[in-house]
Amino acid sequence: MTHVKRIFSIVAGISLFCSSTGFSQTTFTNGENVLELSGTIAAYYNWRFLDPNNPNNHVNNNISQPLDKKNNGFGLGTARLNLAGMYGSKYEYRLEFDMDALGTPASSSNPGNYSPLLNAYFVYKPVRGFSIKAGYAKLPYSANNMAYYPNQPYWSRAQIVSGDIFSRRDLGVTLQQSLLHEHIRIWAGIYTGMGEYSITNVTSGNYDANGKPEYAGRIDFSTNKYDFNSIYDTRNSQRPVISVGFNGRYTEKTQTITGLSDYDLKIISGKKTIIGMDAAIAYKGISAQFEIHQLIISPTNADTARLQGKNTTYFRAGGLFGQLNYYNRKLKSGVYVRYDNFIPNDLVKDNMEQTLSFGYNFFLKGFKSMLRTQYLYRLDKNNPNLLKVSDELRIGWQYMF
Amino acid sequence: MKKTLLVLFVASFTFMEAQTLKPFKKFRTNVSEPSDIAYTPDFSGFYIVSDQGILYQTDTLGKITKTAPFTGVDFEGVYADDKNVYVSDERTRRVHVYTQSALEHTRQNEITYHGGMNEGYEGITFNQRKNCFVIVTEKNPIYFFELNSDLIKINETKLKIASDISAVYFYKDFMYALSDEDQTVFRLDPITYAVINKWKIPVTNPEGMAFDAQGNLVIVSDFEQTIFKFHLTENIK
Repeated sequence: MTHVKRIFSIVAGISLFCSSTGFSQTTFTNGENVLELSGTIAAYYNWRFLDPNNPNNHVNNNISQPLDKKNNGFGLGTARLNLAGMYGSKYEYRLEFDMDALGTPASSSNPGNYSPLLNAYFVYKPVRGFSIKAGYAKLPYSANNMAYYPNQPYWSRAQIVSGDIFSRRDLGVTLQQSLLHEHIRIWAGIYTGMGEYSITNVTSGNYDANGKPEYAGRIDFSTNKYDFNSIYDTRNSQRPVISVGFNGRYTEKTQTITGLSDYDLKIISGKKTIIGMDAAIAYKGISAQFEIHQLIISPTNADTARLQGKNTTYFRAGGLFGQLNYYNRKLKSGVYVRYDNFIPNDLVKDNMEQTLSFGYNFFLKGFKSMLRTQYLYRLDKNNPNLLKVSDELRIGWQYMF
Repeated sequence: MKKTLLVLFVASFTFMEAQTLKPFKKFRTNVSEPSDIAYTPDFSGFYIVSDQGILYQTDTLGKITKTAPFTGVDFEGVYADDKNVYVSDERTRRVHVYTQSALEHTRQNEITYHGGMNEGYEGITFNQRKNCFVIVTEKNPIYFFELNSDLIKINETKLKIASDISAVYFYKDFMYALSDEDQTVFRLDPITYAVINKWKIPVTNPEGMAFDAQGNLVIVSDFEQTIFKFHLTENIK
């Protein structure tokens, strides 16, 4: 109860502060060059509901030890600084950092698997509807992946698109073509295949020895031009807006990287194909999104151990999520419920993780000053094969400047 | 007593609620990402600007008949008088002036504003009561900037009337403002810009506004790429 009181005191304090301050998003222009400076700060309090009967919830996974409460406390959802600009109407560029990552500097013992750099790219638009993007940016894979975090209602994305299963960003080149007034959009790109590790000293610029890149592509169809950030139907769409997307990616590596992300699926020695589809609908404040993804991995070298000694050359991993949302402008509020699941290896029995998330958002000033809450309810808590078994409550505030 | 209070409470909300208009006509335009609309002086067609920084002239059904050769970055507002077409560029903070006949670019002026890149000038019109141009910023905050005939800022008014403003239009002694996020048209006092009346419009992403020769309200939706017409009937207020 003390914790709950503390949380609400903090939220109320931040709310009062935010309501009395302005927004200092700043733009400079000389008529051809336009440069905008902006940022996002989001902080929360996280509480894990630890079941004392589960050994994994205790220090050293030993049930005779006290409960391990190291994850109960304050955290930063993000602390971003964003520079975005354009030169005339043909060139755009962006440099974005998450300053939160500066707190964990790399060293010889800590390889620095996380970079503060979120985006560093430029875009060239030679003709209307076509663009070339080069640099470090999000891959055109998964609608939710391409949605901007500050425009999301929740603190953490569904497991399958969280960045632990497949990389969300990489160095490379992306081509995009829009057709029929953006009712059809096509992306195709080529990347290092090392994902977020490509700009950290996990690789230090030395990518996989076989030198093969990763290829990714996506096509989506929508009744109106679809905005990936429209998780909530803040437009209050007066007729149904429907979008369907299909995407895929492929890479082949001889290297494996373990211990730096959950499930060790991001960089695997062997061939990896990922296919996925997504769908979204929005109408009069009600919206829903659905995504499903499957990884088909043919491991080589030490990674063949993932085949569990079975008579096969590949294993599959994958998951899905479905989300239902309601936004009410008058009440400055939004509510959502999301189901997501994930299977890290289909050759292992009973290892499907399932989570039910629900939450409430209060929009003091749209997404620029917003209360975020998320309750993660883990299904099948007693399964010893699962990595995540504790329910969590996360509550905090986001402020964009 | 409790029932009476409840009835009064519900009734108070009913009267506060703006009347919702229904479109009597709608048609698609072939202008991609239309962001504002103005009639030609003889009402024989429209001027429509797009997010791609292009000024178009169209027929009365919104089909392109002429494209201005000079382009900007992100055109969001358009106003036409007897001689010129005035266009506001949201991102470069400029007002561009074109000739009526050839859509030839004749001059431009910067009106400095350091707010969000995509929260700049959304609309432009001419306030006949105050004899000045008015350009409006989208949000965070909403400003009405008054400009003299040389397009130089002479006054500013900060408003808290809506979540955002996507267009402004002066018509028959009143200023009108359109809110995209609230899907609402406001009638404003032309001197103080205080709200006098308001109407809800069931249009997704309304970005531009004009009045036709019969006094009908014309709205253009960017998201639906469609032009809507409404009878602007007076409500209770």
